[in-house]
Amino acid sequence: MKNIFRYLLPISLLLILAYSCDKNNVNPDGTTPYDLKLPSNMPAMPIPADNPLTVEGVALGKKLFYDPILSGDNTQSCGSCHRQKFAFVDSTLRFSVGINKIAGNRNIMPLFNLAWGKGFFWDGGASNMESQVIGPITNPVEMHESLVNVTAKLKAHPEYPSLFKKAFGKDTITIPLLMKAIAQFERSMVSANSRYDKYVRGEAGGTLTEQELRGLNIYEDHEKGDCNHCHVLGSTFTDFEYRNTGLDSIAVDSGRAKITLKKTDLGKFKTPSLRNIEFTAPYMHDGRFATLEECINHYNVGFHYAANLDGNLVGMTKGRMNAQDVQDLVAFLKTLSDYEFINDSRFAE
Amino acid sequence: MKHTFIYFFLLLTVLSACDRKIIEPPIASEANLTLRMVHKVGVDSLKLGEMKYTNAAGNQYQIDLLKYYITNIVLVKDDGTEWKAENHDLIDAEIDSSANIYLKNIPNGTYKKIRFFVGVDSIHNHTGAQEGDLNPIYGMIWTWNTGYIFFKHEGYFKDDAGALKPLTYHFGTDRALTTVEVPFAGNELTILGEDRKVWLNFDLNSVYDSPNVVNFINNNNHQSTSSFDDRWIDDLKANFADAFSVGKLQ
Repeated sequence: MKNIFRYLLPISLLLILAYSCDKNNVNPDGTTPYDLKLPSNMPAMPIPADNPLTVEGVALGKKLFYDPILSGDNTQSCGSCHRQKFAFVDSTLRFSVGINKIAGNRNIMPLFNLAWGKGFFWDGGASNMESQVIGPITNPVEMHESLVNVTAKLKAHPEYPSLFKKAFGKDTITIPLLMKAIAQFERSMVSANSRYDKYVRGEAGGTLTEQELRGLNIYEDHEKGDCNHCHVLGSTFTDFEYRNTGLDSIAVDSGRAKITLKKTDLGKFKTPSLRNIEFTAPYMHDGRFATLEECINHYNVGFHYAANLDGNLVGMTKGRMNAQDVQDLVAFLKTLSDYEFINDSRFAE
Repeated sequence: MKHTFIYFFLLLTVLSACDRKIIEPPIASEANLTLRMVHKVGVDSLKLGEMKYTNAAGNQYQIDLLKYYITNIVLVKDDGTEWKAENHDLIDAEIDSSANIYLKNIPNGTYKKIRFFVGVDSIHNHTGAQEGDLNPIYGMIWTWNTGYIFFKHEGYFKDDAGALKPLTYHFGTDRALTTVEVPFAGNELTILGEDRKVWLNFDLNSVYDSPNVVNFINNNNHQSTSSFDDRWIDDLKANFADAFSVGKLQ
């Protein structure tokens, strides 16, 4: 009998310890915090207080992302156009085609590192990731479904009611919860394991060739590429600003001005990240350039002196880079390709 | 000993019960208020789908859809202190129950006016993942440009030649946020522990008559999506000021 008491204390201590460990891994509403494991060269991820990342929320968001139930005729999911192997773009088309076989008028945007973004869509029209979600679902040239129908279909589905309950602890399916779930999945899509990242972090596999290093210098050189002003080197590769890069003398698409209604924003579009740029052709908001060489040539010699031309380009000499510079810069840009990301099973259908 | 205690408690219980019969129930320090929206077009009550109304510009028109947000209601006491509801109510002329706005736990006092926004304040206007009446399912949000449609009037009107033309008015953006203040006038609203009800008239013709006469002809499609809508937004915003009036109090 005495022996039992001898063991009782350590055993109960162990039990308490085990229990408290367990408690640390469960939120008060029964959800499990999602462990992001951000690489060291990425800044802390801003996450809205009312939509923390949870294992259950991210899983639900992923299921919704790949489920054609969100479209009007149940044929297209978000993932139909946002394909992982191309860093979540459509790849070949300038303009993706929706369920009614109608093409849009802007090139699809890749999906990664969105959590750091400030506005969504090319013109920043959606003010946060949650709000972005209902755009493609309801757009007649995309998934063309009503939010009333989406809600009804999800409520009648054999799995979604319990999945929403697991993710949000409520016996209900609402559009705001759908928006939150997909936003959670999208925030979890972090890309920061390119060869360049490993080079910066001094990790194995992080070697750059001589040509790639020359390209890196051109990227930063104000007299050459001067990419770094807007496509800030290091983590997100964008400054999240809206700029007119002189694609046309008179903007065909009003861009940011469509949102702000300001003339000074005519023809301005969001600076896209240059990560995974090798996978996301064609380029620019209207997909007008098929190759990276064409893009670089635009900034080197092709840009128009549009009324709202970005200040960084206004005084820029044309023809700053020679053919070798362009090739070197392209070589560097390809070191930003994150093969781990496009093969990561956590984001796969 | 045990029994003594039981008798003592019984006695106490009886005494307190007696006590309760003598003293009047105390007056509650607060009460609830139901605000009932009453839709009018001039002197007529509003009926959807009937070509029977005429605005100040002389356009004959009908209303097929009328939805708007009444938010952040404030009740102002006679001493100037304010009670704030922080509500977001969507009123849909087609859904009778939506015309009731329930305000809970208003402290006792004499209130002289009511103030509210037609629209959604800029904090709530810049995100869409919101439950309740701000849920995007109600079709009062722009999906490509995050923001709520504060006031939506869709229907038809007759042009000068008598031809039927569609009318689409979607009023919104931060520029459009409109503060409306309505006095309770001679009928001050007194809250004294008992629930009250106030009928608030909303006259749609008033939105189109003063100070700015809004003519629908060649002016029938405004969706607050271009700077060309700014003038129209400012006109309606000014007109909303006298579109509401307090009716019955109960």
